[in-house]
Amino acid sequence: MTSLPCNTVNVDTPAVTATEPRNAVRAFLVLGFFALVSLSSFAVDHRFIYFSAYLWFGFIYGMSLQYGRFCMASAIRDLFAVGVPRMAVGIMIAVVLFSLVSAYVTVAGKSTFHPSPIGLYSVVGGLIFGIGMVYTGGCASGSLYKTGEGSIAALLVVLSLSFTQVFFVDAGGWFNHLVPDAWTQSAIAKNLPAAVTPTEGWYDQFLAGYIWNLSAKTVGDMLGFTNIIAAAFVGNSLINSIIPALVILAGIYMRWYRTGYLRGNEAQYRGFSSELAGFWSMITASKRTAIAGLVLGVAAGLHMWVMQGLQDRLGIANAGELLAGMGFGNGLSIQDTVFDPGYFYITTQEAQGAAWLVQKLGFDIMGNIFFGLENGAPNPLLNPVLWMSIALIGGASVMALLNNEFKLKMPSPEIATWAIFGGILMGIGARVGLGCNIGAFFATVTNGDPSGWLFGLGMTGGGFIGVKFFNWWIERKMAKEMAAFDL
Amino acid sequence: MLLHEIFKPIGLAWVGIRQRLARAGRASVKQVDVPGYGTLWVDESLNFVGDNCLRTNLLTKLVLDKAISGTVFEISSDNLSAIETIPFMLPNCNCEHLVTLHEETCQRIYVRKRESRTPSSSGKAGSAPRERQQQSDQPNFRGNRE
Repeated sequence: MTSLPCNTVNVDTPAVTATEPRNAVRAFLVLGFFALVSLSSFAVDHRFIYFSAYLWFGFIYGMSLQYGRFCMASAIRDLFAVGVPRMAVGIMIAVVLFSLVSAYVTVAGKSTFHPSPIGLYSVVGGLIFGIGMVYTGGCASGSLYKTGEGSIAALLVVLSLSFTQVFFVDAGGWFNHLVPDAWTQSAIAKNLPAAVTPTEGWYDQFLAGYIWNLSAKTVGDMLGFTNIIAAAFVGNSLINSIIPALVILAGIYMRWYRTGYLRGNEAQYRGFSSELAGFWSMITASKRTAIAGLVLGVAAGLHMWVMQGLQDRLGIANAGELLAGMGFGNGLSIQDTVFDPGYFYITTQEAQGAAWLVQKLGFDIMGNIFFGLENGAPNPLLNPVLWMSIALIGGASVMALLNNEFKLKMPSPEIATWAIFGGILMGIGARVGLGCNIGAFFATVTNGDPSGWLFGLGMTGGGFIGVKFFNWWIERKMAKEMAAFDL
Repeated sequence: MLLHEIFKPIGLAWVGIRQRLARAGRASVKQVDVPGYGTLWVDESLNFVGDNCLRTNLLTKLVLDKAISGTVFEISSDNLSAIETIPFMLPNCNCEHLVTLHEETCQRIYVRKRESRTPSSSGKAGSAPRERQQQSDQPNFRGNRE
């Protein structure tokens, strides 16, 4: 037998192959489509530049996510299931960089970020979301970029979590029995418009009777920094993002990386300097993930800057004002607003798209707080944040095509079942946690909002439970199978 | 009834896993031409084409953990995330990555189980790999082409 070389260096780097001509053409067609959308919409009305900003940042996110295989489900699952830390490391790199850019953007007065209320709901939502994403094989952003790679299973996840959110936020009747009386009384006391029927539906009372009573502050505000530079760089970035990220990285190094690294470098062990070398080796083990984390971190920070700049330029505080001004009032909330976070976000705009479709089928979904009072459900063609999600899929497609990695993959019934089942859990988790792995974790922890770490804690716990259950199930069945072989 | 509905997908998942295990057990010992390197004898083939990353990674780990020293595996997958994760998890399974071949429909990772380590150096005492000659009666890990 011919001895083969041990090839363990840069194992994440794909073989250098030239883009196939047909894939290059397809990539340019996708890119051309989005360029055409941008230019033609701008030609119709210059205010569509606000939509295009979302679109092109979505495109960049898609390219970065696909390039680095950036996925929160992968990060948690690979740690607990197979002891591989590379994705978790990449995410922590992105957290550190995004937090630094965000701090700069905040100091410049261009931040669009608003902190989420701090409460136990984040842990619960993250837990449900985490279990779901392990079973689907992708988080909310991961499922979008995998859709761009041609995975129909990932598309099923996106559709499942989108429609689940619609049904979940509108669920009333029997679900009202699950609402604590204190939430109902608190919701009534808010004197909300009758159109949103705040006492009908579990989610409405969850929002109005519980969430709105919680306080929302960044760490910079909590610590009482009066200087905005100290609040942004010390409170929000250093204390809320960088130090926790470094602690997590150190924990990952000690638990999952150190033993393997030192085993291969036993002869040269020089104490702390060897530990530092090992830590750096872990950070740079997967260049693709590290590069993707770097680009994502910087792009996500710049995104906020651009959106706030455009809001200032166009004289608006919400895209609903643009739509109303352009004569597209359908689907706006009763406050004439639409969902418009001004930064990287995933799940809410997908729920809006599903809600629009459900409404077209004759169901009324605007009688609740989530759509009727806060986010609206505009036509998907006129939903600026949904442009970002669609462009994210497009950007991932372009990157996959350029690397000859695009492949239309139909799921087996089994994979499809898991995708839908996991997507349902992700949809429920996203609504309970007020966001997904991006909106409730990535964008929050990097902007000084400690609620993001609570969601991350729940998501990690959910991922752990999901992996352990799956592992137990497979091992149990493998043991039975081996017994069947009479081993 | 509700419990049945909840666990139905898990049952479906197990059907798929069992099929793959059976498939992996059948496909053993073949010769592969590796461009630029030469000919490689493969003892076991694991086909995860169409699977998601969790199942690909978990089943690969379980099989590699239980494999005997010297066994060469061919792991086929079209899941890009799993393909890139597998080489990183090999040291924990006491395996070495030989080469990854990029094909049009999937990628094939070739892996060899290293020589046994002492229980203390391989983590859990019960997870130390078995020697091939001691396990020659095991159908899934029987390859012997030295």
